[in-house]
Amino acid sequence: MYSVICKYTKMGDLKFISHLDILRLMQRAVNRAKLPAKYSEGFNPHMKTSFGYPLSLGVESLGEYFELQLVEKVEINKLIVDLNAVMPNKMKILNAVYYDGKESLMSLCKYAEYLINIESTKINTVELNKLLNVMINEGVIFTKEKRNKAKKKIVKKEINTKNLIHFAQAKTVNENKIIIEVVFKTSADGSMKASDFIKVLEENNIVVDYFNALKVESLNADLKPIIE
Amino acid sequence: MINTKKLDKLLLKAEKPARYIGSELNEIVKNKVDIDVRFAFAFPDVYEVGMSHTGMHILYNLLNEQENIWCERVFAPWVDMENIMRENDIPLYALESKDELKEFDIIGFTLQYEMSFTNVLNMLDLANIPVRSSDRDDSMPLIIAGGPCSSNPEPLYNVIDIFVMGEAEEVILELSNLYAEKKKNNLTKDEFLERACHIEGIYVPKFYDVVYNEDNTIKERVILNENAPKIVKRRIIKDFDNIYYPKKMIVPYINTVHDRVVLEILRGCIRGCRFCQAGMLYRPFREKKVDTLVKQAENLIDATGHEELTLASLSSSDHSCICDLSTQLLEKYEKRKIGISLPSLRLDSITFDLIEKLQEVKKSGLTFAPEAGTQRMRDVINKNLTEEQILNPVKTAFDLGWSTVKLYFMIGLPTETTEDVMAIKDLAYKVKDLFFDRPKEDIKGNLRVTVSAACFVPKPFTPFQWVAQNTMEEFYDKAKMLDREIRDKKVVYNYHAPKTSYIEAVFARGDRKVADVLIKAWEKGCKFDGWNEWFKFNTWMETFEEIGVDPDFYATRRRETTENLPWDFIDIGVEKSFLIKEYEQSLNACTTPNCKEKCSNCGINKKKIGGVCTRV
Ligand code: SF4
Repeated sequence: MYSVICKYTKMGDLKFISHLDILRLMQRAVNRAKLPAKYSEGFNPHMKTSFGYPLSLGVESLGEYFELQLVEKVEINKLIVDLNAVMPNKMKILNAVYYDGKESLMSLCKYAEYLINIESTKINTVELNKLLNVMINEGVIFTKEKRNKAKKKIVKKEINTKNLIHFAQAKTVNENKIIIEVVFKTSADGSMKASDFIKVLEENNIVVDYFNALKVESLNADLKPIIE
Repeated sequence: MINTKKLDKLLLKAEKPARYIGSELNEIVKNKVDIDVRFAFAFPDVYEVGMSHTGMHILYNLLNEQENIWCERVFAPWVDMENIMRENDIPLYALESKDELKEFDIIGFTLQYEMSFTNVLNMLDLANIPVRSSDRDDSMPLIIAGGPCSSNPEPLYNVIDIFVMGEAEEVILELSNLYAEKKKNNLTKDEFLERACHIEGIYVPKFYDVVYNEDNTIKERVILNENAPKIVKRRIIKDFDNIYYPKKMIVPYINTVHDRVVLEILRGCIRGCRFCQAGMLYRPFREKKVDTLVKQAENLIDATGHEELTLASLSSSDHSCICDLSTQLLEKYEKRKIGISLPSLRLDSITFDLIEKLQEVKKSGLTFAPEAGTQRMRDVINKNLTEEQILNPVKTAFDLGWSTVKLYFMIGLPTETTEDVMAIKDLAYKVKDLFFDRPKEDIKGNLRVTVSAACFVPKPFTPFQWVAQNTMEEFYDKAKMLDREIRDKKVVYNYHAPKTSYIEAVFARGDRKVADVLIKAWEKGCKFDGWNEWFKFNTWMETFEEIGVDPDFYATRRRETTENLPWDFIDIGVEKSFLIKEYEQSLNACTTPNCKEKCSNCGINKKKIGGVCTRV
């Protein structure tokens, strides 16, 4: 059995496709490409695949990952070409490698690097960077609402940005546009979403008229892309 | 194009935004400058329902194979999205180009179900297009409609410009090409309609008027335009084996009702069940060759990557080579883990072997449709199924390890008595006994018998088109009687709401007078009537009252066979005299053999369509 990790993009309207739906999409793409996928045994066989840290709805990405198990080795370039031939337009396999490490793909993804574009006439980058520094070094507390599925209640949780943001820096693009480069932690015991991040800014008197987020990469413990 | 940046921000607020974005695999995007006719295929229900409809995939690809036509899709936005769109001034748009519907040349609705009529109106309104055809000037798109419900088009006569009658594969191209000429020659809409009504299968309602008798029955139809034909003939595809079938289909991102490759293996039905409209409309029986189907299956599986293939038809076991076909497909796709399913099999010994093979991996529940409890009742509806033929396969199924069985019935069938209704319970209990009357060591699994009772709705072009539907009281009495009587943990009983079936019956056999009720009810907020959470029965009843139309006149009134029916001007091929004969036979509980055993001269071969039935 062989394990391949593929890096792919998810751009444009595909940002509205949920993580679960992407799983099915990938499996069908593997079917169309007629790759020798490995299936589970048992009554309801399913393709053995796993994914990196889930991306939230509404965010485009240039660095998503999925892992596929094959029963036969396929030449890596052929695999990339064959998959790309059957993918929807806004999704492309950028690279793939055979992987024999122990760690799961999900736990390899320790950080996520984003570019967040903000439109606002009222922000000053210097001020914003000050706040970002506080968020990283001292921490800013914000509350997150989560739906507790079992009890169908909304639970509030207090969260500190300090543990969740590794890096953040804002640059002015033009009069009313700012780009923030930010690296979030993505671990099982805590992660931050772009929308949470914007919420913290707004709670701290930064006026955001419009924003969009692009995930650039999933990074490992050494802050390197999982695959180049 | 609509304001996509605005849409982008708003979509995150909608449930399942993937419904509204398009850009799925195998979607077709063209360059507008090369296009003569822009066609929007409109499905008046949510994305998941519409994308499961094979007809949409066929016509979408068929139209798009024409270089000068670009066909796009549009579905009814769910209510949350509708509110977002209305609040933010986003008009209804087509998924491929995100252009608003108003910019299209033709908008074509498919009418699968009477309860989606209000959604047709709602979609037009969301597109800022007046719902009444008389309020639309030449700048507005042409609104057309087809599908099974257009076999009685009159309830929408003042909304739709053109109805397409019958199988659309050929006529839709003739119509679109004529439209391309209209544009080239700058014809007015009326000039175009006059030309269009010469195409066989095209009905232009505004060229006709209806005169009523004092008792509200139809006195006569009047032709208002000399070009319009007196009788509109339904289109029938003669060479079904060679008819267009797509090589690829769009693959949705989200789960749809049927998430699989669908292969239409045959059209029509040999059986002649007297309640079944499809069985009459799609006559005669035509099937595709095994080689054709295997090739089509291969194209579609390769193009979609779906993990399941369904062989679809009204009665799949009637395909003359069904065993050969399924075996070939099974062998071919076993290794690629692609499941084959055959949803509408008649269960007899031959097909049973087949089901066993198909379900080797996963034993899902079995489904039977006896439709009625007593033999007399089954003879009335010409189901041609004995109790033995129902129970024997059930027993075999239990022996083979099945333990969940679904049984479908109808209540309110013509001549039905209390005894017939109670027999539904008896049949369900017999099924249960079959399970437990076996040696203890053979009893495995947890038995579950589900009994569903639907309320019978008489439909046009069936031998029951003249009968009175049960009143709601009668339906409730029958449905609740079963509910009281079926007292067994192993037998689960449920029934469909009589109120919905009542409204459905009004529009199924409605004439032009129900059209204003429809528009008014929609104005008062009726939409998604097929969805229980949105169905507003009281609003409907209020509206009938206000407009002064008696719904009972359409639903619960028995017609004489001499009465002029609203759909009599349509020739579906099957003759009215045949339907009358079948109606009379039914009242005496006399059965009619199926087309394989003996031709009963339904008339489909006598008409101009001529020679389409190979069974005669
Ligand atoms: S012509 Fe005869 S065999 Fe053909 S559909 Fe009609 S009844 Fe059946």
